[in-house]
Amino acid sequence: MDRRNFIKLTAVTGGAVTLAGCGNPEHELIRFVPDEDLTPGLAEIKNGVCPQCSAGCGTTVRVMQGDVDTVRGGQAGVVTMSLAKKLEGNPTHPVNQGTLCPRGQAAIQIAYHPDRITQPLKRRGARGTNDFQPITWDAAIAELVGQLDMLASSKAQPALACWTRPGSSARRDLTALFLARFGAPPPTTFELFSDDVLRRANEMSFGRAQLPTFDLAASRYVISFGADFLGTWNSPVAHTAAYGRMRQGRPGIRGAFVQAEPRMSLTGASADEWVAVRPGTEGVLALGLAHVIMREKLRPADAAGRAGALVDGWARGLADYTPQAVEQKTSVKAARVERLARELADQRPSVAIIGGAALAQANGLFQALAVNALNALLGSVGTPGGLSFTPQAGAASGTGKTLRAAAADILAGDKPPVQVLLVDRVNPVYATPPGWRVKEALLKVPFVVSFASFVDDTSVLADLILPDHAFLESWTDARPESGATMALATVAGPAMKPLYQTRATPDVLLDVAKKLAAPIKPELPWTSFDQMLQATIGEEAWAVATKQGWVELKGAQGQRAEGKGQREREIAREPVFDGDAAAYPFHFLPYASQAFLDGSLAHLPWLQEMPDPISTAMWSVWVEINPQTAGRLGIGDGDVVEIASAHGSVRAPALVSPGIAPDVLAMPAGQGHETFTRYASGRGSNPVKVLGPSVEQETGALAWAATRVKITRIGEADGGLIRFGASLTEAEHTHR
Amino acid sequence: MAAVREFFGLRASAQQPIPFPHQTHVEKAMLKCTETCHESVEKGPAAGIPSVKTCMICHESIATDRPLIMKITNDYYKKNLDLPWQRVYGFTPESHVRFNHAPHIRAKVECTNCHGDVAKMTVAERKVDHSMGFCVDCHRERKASNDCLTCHF
Repeated sequence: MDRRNFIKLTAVTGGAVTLAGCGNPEHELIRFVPDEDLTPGLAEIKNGVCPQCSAGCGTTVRVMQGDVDTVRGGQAGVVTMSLAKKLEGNPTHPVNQGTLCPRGQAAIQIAYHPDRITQPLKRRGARGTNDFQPITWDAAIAELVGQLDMLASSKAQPALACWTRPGSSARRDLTALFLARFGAPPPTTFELFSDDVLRRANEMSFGRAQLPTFDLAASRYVISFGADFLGTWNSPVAHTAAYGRMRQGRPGIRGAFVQAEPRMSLTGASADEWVAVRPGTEGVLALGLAHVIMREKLRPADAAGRAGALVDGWARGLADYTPQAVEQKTSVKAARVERLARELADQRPSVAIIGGAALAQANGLFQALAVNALNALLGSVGTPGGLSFTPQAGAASGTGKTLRAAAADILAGDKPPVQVLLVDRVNPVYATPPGWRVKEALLKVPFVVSFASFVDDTSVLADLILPDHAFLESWTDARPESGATMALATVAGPAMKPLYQTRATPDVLLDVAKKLAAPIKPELPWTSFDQMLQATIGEEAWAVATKQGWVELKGAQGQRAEGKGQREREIAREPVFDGDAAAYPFHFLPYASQAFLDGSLAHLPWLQEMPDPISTAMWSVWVEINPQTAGRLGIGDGDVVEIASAHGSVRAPALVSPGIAPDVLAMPAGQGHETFTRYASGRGSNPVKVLGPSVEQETGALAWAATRVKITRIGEADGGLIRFGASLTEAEHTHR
Repeated sequence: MAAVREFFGLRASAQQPIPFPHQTHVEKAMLKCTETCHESVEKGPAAGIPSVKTCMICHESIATDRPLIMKITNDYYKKNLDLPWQRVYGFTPESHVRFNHAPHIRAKVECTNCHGDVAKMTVAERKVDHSMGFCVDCHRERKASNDCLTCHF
């Protein structure tokens, strides 16, 4: 016996006695007869559509034979089938070009999640108690059809509502079509970190109500105002690929990059220069740069055209935005404003980007218009190295009321205007500020149907859950809004058969439409979602789409139209913060987590385990605080602190970080779910619950960066902050 | 002692749901190993273990009165359950071996070389010890590569 085996044997003898009783674990399994004829060990590569955000990246899916736990006819067992094993970027896809972000990589865990809903559920106990009973699909569909028939028979079709997520896809078109033909209002879309403000600004400045695509690969100078475009914003994988080429892809030219934001994001950490601008004054900084460029005649003032005309005082050379005035408002030194302006104008093609917290202010629209005007002045719109708009095919589906308005309407009268509510892939109970009272509104709706794959903070309140397939088990599609230079659709068929008794939501809607007592008219001409996809894409393109996982869409709108160049009404120029500056001395900045985005991915253990790239924290949430501020308040790293606004409070460990302005406290979104699978339930706290209800007036988008807070030290570090490399105790490793 | 075996990287010995008579199938039914049952060996890296559907190709009409055939028909096939066969050979994950049948078939290595004379057995038993020495000896004899990465990852 060699040394290694000796050590092993000594280790084993203790445990062996207890373990020997386990026998061979394979022996007890119940096996179901496989449906497919398979060759073990041979991999097949199929296409997929990443479901994690609205960027619409294409993936490849490695599919191989394997054993999987499943439930058949109420019996748990194992079946041998083709299984998706690994996701990577689709090498031919124009947006992600063969790469995929960690959130996309982790999407495979959606299919195999141990807490997936495996069959339709009907509420048994009180709402919110998570007491559901399994029912058959026939009974579940009959239930929904019965509710809709009741609406139809009392001519109350407009009392059907749908809350879903934004993003252009055939799936959303189908939902909108179903609602319209039933006689219901268009769906309400909701997203915590919404970009509606920028879409509106782009419509006003450039005539295109969509997110821009940046040709970073050809840029020489980039300034970004709060946009985490390499991490979580817009189309991060496309940006990252282009950014790499900008920095290292051209011999002799390394593009420069400046990031202006009050808290250092992942993107800010990659910048040559980080500018800590005061929250809500990013637009002022942009106009200060424009002022210097025009004053020095580095660019002709009329180059800004209609985008410039939207900004008051543009014609007079922005006389109010001298570097000194800008310094006073933004806290960025006048000399630095001068230098940045010269660099921007000298090192063209240059481009300015705005996103994230800079838009989530009461004056978000003003800030976006200011940056748009700066881009126009630089001659960076529709030119190489600047910004452009991905052509879009077909009209976007109409959008209904904002979620805030929808909730307010439900709460207003005695009889709620919504009798039946369909909730698809959104979790607004988690992701809205308490002042919107979304949970109360939901509880007031008599019948709530959810298509969720997991019981989360919202679906736990549903009366009926009709679980959707995992994306790998169904036809999926997305039409990217940005990140490419052509109109395209990402399309993929099922990579594997469904593991459980779930059904694709579009197919359920098509089924319901036919089973209504008075079937909807004009009839939806498809029997399944893939038929609809095929019909919308066209026969010739379909062959291409199914082969390569995406297809260029013909008949797309042109690259760029002109904006109107005038505003219909005054827009807010000054930021307005919720909370009195004396009582609440700090700006509160929740931000999209690198792992969970807005929290919709917190149920995936790989993402919980992924260390945050800036703080190295995992499985937890934290409050970022400047070292000076922390020193003044006697707060040490890891100490438990309480963040309170006029609307609520949360507790979390403090993370002392130099990458944040002294008057700002920041917290990642994503944790603090009450109900969201074994991995996320009751873990950490939710920063959204501190936010005030204020919105940007033009668009009704939540101004999530406009709340003021105070901070109180509660006590010593309690181990709540888990950093990569720190030893984990048994308790921290044990998930409920 | 399953845990101990596992700890040392040894597979637990297989326990099969029924005593499958290999001998009968090879000698009386004249079936070839890789024709109907372990057919994947011709196509991919693994030989595969047949599902109950493969049994029923013949046994829907042959020997339907035998107790074991009635058992697999009634207790498994008709209930949509598969026979929980266990692998007899194979490497544990800890051994970091990536084995592929294909090059061995191409080199005309007989099944019996590595699996023993299964045709003479009832239930397949592990008669050959797939130790590293066993592999390396044969590779040396046949002048196949003995580079670590040929087998290990």
